[in-house]
Amino acid sequence: MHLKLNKLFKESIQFLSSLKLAVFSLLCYFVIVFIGTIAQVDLGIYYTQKLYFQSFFIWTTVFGFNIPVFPGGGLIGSLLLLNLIMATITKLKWKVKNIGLMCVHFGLILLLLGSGLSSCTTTESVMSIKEGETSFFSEDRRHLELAIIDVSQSSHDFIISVPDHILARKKVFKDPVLPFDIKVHSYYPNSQLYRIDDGVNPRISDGIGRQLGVRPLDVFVRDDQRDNTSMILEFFDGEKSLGRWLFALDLNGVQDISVRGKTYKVLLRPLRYYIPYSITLNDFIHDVYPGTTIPKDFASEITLNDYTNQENRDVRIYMNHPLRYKGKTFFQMSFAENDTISIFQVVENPLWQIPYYSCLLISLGLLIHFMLHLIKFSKRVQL
Amino acid sequence: MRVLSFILVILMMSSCKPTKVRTFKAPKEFLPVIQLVTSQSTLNWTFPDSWIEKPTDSFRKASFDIPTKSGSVADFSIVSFPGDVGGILSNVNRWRNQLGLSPISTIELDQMKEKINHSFFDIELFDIRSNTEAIIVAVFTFNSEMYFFKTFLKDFSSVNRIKSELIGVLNALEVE
Amino acid sequence: MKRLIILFIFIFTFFTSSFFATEHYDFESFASIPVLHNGRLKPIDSVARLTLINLQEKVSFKRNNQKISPSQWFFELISLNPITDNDLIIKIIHPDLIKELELPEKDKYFSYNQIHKHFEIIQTKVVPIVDLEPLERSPYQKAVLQLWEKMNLIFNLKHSFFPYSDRSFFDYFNQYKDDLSPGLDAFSRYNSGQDLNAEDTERLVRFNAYFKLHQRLKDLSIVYFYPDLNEYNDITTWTNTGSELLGLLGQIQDPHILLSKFLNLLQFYSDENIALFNSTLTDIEAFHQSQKSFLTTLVSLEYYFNVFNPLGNSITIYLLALLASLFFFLFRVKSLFTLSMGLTYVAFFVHTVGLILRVVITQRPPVTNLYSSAVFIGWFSILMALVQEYLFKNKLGPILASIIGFITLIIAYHLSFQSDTMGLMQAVLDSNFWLSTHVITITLGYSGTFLAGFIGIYYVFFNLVSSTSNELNRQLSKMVFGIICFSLLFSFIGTVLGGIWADQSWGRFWGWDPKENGALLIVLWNAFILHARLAGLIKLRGLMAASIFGNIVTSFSWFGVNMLGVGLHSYGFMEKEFIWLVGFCMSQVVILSLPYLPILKNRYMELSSNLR
Repeated sequence: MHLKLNKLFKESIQFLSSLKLAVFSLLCYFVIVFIGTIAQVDLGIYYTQKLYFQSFFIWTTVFGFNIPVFPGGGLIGSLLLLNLIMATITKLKWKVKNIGLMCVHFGLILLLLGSGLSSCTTTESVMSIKEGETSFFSEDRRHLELAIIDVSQSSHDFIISVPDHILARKKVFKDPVLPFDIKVHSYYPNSQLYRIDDGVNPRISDGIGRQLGVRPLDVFVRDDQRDNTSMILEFFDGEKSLGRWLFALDLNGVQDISVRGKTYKVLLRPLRYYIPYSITLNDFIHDVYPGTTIPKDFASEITLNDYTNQENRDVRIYMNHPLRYKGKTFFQMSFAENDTISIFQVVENPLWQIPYYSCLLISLGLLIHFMLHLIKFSKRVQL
Repeated sequence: MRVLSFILVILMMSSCKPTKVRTFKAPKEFLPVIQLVTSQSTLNWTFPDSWIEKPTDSFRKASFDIPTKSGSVADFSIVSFPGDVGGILSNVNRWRNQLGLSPISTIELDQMKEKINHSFFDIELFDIRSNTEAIIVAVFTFNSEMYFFKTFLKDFSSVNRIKSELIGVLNALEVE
Repeated sequence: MKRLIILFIFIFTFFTSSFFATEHYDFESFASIPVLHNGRLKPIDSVARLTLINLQEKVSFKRNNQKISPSQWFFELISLNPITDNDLIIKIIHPDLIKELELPEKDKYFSYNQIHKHFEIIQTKVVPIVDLEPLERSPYQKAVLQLWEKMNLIFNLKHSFFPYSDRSFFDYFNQYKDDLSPGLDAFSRYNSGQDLNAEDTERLVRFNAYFKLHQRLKDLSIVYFYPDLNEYNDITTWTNTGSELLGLLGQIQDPHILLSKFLNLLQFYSDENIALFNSTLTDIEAFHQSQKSFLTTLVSLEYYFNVFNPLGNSITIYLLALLASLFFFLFRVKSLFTLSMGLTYVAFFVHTVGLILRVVITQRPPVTNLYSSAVFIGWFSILMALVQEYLFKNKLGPILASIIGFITLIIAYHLSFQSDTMGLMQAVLDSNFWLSTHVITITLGYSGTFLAGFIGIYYVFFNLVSSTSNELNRQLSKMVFGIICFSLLFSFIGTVLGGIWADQSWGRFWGWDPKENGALLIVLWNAFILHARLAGLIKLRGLMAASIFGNIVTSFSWFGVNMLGVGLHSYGFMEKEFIWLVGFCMSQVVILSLPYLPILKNRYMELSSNLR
């Protein structure tokens, strides 16, 4: 029994480190990247990434059944990684001759591992600031939060943020930090709101939603369209119902919910990342090439103000010159409203340096390896 | 090595930890109340009977004379501008300048700000007084236009009455 | 020295104009004058060529079966010579639009006058189209929009100097100068609140009319003739005629020296005084030369680049070289090989000169857009083909080099009719170390993959027509292997540099953008070939077939991803080229499957094992 297992283990190691697996994975990955690129025309980058490049299988619907038709980028990526590691350990001879190849393999392992991990550790968000105004948070473009805000303190607001994926899944959600329990009656990933002219929406007992109807829509796949997520929530104080409210991204404002004599302002909004410092946009500059409307340069003059360490300085953020501060990087991304609003891409990725190191390793390895070949080759030519 | 590959598989398989419920203490910020207003909707107002209506011009949406005890008249106007008209601070300082007062900072602005309770609007009231004159202005946003309800008093004879009448007008604002 | 030359030219023109009866307008001098246009300083010749390309998608055109130079046509256009209104230079291809505008249905090129009659129809149609997203527009709507843009272009150019033909600019300007100071007086009286008498009122009204017209000229004119006299090198200070005229309103000053020159030039042209016309042009040239600016040097370099057209001419030489090497393969005469080799070297030299000139003129890296990538990919593939010829002496060099040169430069030639090949780049693409290194290394990778693919094609055809030795096949296989290693190296480094650039610009190393994916596909394909060969899964035939498939992969990531119409940094969008791309891919599939056809199978023997 033990022997059999041992044999099986050996065989699987053999398989996992085989060159054939590498060839197979490379070919599969090639196909996935190709299909994924074509699919972007209809699906947009975000969904192709999810469906093709990060998934373990690519699914399709045949006669109403969802069946996997091809391994996804996630699976093949993991296979390639395993294969690489196994091959490096078992196949590659640790000799000076192979130093280039070893560099390449180590670099590739680091690259694949790093990119796999950093897809988990990266947060991308957007901060838009009007000229003269100050911001202390950025917003996620894909995820929402139900913000429950206690404004009773005069010095600050106390905010409880419930991410929408919790509400999308849960029927009833309880959490000790919440002043009330939440029951999700309906959750629409995308919807259209319309006004009810006569009568009220019977599914909603309180708030602005009584005058509104909800029409579910398919989610938008294009990158420039935004879903209007909406939900009907009932709040409970213990067993006692406080009422049913409608929340939607399009409803751009708060609704009051009172529990035990305290009023909370509640709204559904893009998920926020607060920063422990503030950024003030002093000026947004938009240069064009002379005699044209072709943009030459976008730049934002900002003031960074950190209360924790009294760091207070002016920074210019422009193309290819982001601001890196406390783990976050602010990139000049866009602008709006006649150049009065500047929009920054805010990226937090603790592993951002890994690709640099791995690529350095790989390039060096390839260079060394091919140089050795070239030297060998030129010697032969001379002979 | 078995352990190594095991760890790697776990690493790759483990899906990213999703965001949990989080709590923050954040600086106060303006939280708009939901307004179900379409662009056709209009603002309706009612005024005390004692106010005497004046003809309006292209800037003024409404214009009134308010009689005071001393016999002078206070001038009341409703003006709206698209956008934020340079921000509240610069406007307040403009009115202070009109009364011969020196400009103030944001902190002082926050201190002198009075909030009016209204179900739809976040109305801010500024009571600016020099030694002889006063300007009382209410500011709010509607249909992405900034509205100014402004009273200019040449003396203080009826200032409290006029101010409470103005607050009454603001409370009675309706959106149709 | 310069003065001497100018003097000489002056004397020369003087004498030629007096001695030869067939004197002509010196439009060549006009063509070399530097102007600011679309944000870049260039000779008028380039402006004229680009305008013609925008209007009719080609440079040359004929009037009454006589070839007209771009700069002559351009001068006639901006000086409002009515003859240009009948030139057939506006291309419309959409048949419905042609029918709708009641134009002769068989034609493709139409005149300004023919279309102008219906301009109002076009204008009303355009309004809703402008609001649509570019991808949502139908071919018909695109055609309408394009026509509208073409008409606007002509309209803008007619505002370069003075938009009315019933009056000469010269007379108008002198009237304006006379009216200026009384007008200013009346204006200041009006401003200070004084009462105006009838005469003053009339002056003021006229003053206002001047102001409005000049403002309009300033907004419409797209050619900037006038440098700041103190800041010649700062191109942001260059102005157009409208601004110059407006500038005279502010304070009393002399008009810009070039404005006076152009006023004279237009007057001499309408007076048909050729000698004075030409000498005025000489003065304008002399003015620019006297600035001793490196910009004028670049502009004149660009002018000569246009005139001598090294890249266009090298196409012809590559074609000759290709013919010579084909004949060599037919007749096996050694002198033919020498000839083809010589021609290839000449073509490559001209090609190189063109490439270097472009780099010097644009002051940018060799690859900035699709056009220049074609020039560069071709250039580098040829370089590699010549290097391998030097190393292996297998007589493959000329045929590979000339065929690649011919194809890539033909592609470049067609791409050059899409926009300014030296045009500006989007802000995000502008002047960045990572970007330029990324683009160049990735194009090196493209070049390598293409070269390997072409060797593969050579292998297929050569084995098809003659039975070859094991030795040659072995050599080909080695070459392909080596080149694919090289391509893998460069496409990988290029992809990585692209990642670094993206990380610097947007904070993400990899975003699955189509252009990035395209580069990754090449890396994956090359890695696949190397590993499959190592695993023994593919041998000679497989290697060749895979390298030919590499052509498809490369052309997809070079052109295909631009046609997808998505992505952050696709540097061009095309439509009819799609058919060409599909055709190319099909041809590659056919070629690579030839060795696998049962009837041909025995012509493509695998290498005998002892030689492997």
